[in-house]
Amino acid sequence: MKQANTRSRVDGKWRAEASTQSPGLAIFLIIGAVASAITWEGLFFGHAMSDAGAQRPVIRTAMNADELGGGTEVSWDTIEIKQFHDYANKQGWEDTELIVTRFVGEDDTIKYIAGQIAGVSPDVIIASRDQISFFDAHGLIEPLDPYLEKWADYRDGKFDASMLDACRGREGKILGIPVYQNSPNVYAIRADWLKTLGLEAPETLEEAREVWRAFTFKDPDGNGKNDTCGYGVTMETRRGGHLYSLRPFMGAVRVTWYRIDDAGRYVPTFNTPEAAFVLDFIKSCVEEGLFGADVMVRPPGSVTRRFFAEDDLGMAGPFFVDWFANLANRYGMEDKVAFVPRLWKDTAARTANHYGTFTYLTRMRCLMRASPNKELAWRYLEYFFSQEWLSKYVSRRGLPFVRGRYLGQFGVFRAETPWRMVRHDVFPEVSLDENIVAMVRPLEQHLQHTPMMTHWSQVSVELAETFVDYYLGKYESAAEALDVAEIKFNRIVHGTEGDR
Amino acid sequence: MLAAVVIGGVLCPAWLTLRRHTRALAAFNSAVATYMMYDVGKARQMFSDVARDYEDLSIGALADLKAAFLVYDEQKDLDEAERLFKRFLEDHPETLLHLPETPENFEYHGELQLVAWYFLGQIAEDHGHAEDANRWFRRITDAGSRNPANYIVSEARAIVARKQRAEKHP
Repeated sequence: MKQANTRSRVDGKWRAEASTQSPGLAIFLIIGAVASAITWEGLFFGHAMSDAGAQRPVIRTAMNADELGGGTEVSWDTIEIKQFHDYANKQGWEDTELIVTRFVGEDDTIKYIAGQIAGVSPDVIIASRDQISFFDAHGLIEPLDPYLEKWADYRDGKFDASMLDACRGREGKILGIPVYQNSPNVYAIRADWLKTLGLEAPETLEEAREVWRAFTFKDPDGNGKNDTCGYGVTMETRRGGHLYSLRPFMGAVRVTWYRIDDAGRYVPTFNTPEAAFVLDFIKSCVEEGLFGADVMVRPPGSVTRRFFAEDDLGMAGPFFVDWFANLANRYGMEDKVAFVPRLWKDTAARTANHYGTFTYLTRMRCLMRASPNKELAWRYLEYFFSQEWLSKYVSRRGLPFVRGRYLGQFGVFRAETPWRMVRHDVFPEVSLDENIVAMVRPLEQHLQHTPMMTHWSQVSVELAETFVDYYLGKYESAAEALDVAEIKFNRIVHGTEGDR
Repeated sequence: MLAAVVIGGVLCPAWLTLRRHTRALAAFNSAVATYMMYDVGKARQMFSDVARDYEDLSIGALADLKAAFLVYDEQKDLDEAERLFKRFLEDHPETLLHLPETPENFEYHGELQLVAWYFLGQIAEDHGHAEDANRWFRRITDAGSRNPANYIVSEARAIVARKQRAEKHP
């Protein structure tokens, strides 16, 4: 289905553009009709209308309001507009106007579609991997490669190539730019419990199981009660949460969920004997009670809370060190917990250095194909990812919004510290502890990046349901559960049951 | 008629009190905004004005601490900052709580004296008076809540723990 976007600009500089959009968007036209009734926060439509009389080129950005701070009379809009204008003046773009809009609520996708229908879509959006993948599948994203290649900063190698590679879509094009990458994931363990029980921190899965048994059954907190357990796992499936718990273990045996083949098709990669080994390992731990007797009925999102606040978990993960250090400090557990950087599958894997781990990127800024003047809109990205702006973004008190938080917290500022910036020449002012960095740095060689996939939120729920069903005895073997999971994957992604 | 007088007598002071709170908050937020937009000197003056005009409200006391913090953090005038934080403690000998009045994510809420103790500890540390510093930080950990959301207490606890570790393993 080809749709002509008939938008035009009153200044006469911007021509109407045609955009090709896939049939999938038609479904969302229906949703959009409803969603367009949802209120976008004030400015969006307001600016769209007032813009009719404007003679200046305009760039519109849209981001989720949840990401922003509030509470003072200087809003993010004011700040970013002022910062952009300062930068634009230096670049000779002083006539360019920036309009910052916000989504309210979680579902950016529907609201974006509503905006498209209303003809007021933003030029640049800030969105999650799932959303970007969805937009990409519907032909809504403008690849950034040609714009980057024209930018001296990119040509001069100022950007982290591996991070940008993780932002490529199915056709291999860069769809968006993140600000930074979190650290590779690690585990946290109760160092004080290890000491009490005379144990060493585990290095392999089997050693971990032994430690978890001691944490569960040997009263490590010495209170005479059977109220501790070895490791924290969530069995929550509604948002695929269990897969997050499984991820470090699957990583340890280098199992990923899917890949993209040469034809651009998503291929499941998890149906392997190694994955079956992990499911069997988890099932046996569940049956031994090493994750706690209530593991199947525990509310979602409780692992971190239990580890830090309720004091009854011996080990937990996955954590990113930048976040973990903050939590440990807040809960006064700095000297009670330690990192376990990795759990090898076994000693043979350790000898062979066979391991896998993962990390996350921040939300990406993307250029939308429907933007009536993409060259102009690119200026926003050039501004945002300039060394000048990003340096302020990660400084202790450079950026106005950060300054507000800094002052609010009397300089006791414990924001997440970026592990690796998208630009090589930007250095976060608040650095991580050198010992932690030295411990985690070797994990980078094992990082596995997962491609973006539109259907992931749906697939992850189905996989999590299947695996939890296996622990509960619905399937005879892990292999059978993995077969079922693969069929579900193919049904969701391709509408078929695959080759099986 | 009597009812109107009674209702007016009750509602009017309540309305005036509410209006005064709103004004204090607006003035405080203006000072924060001024700091955010890089005018530190003006922000400090605005915080001092809020502290003077609303000394009976907790937000006035909080503004007093902000002004002292800017002297410590921006002007790097340790002696003046010490004087201001000590004066704060003299002006507020009883426990003074600042509780959230707006949906702010990042503003300090809790016992305000702890903030003054914390910076007196930092200033002592900066002067190289480790024992004095330790006394201030321990005072916070002894008196403060265990609420992990109170980052002044959390930070003081982390400092005390680090010092203890350093003593054990010099």
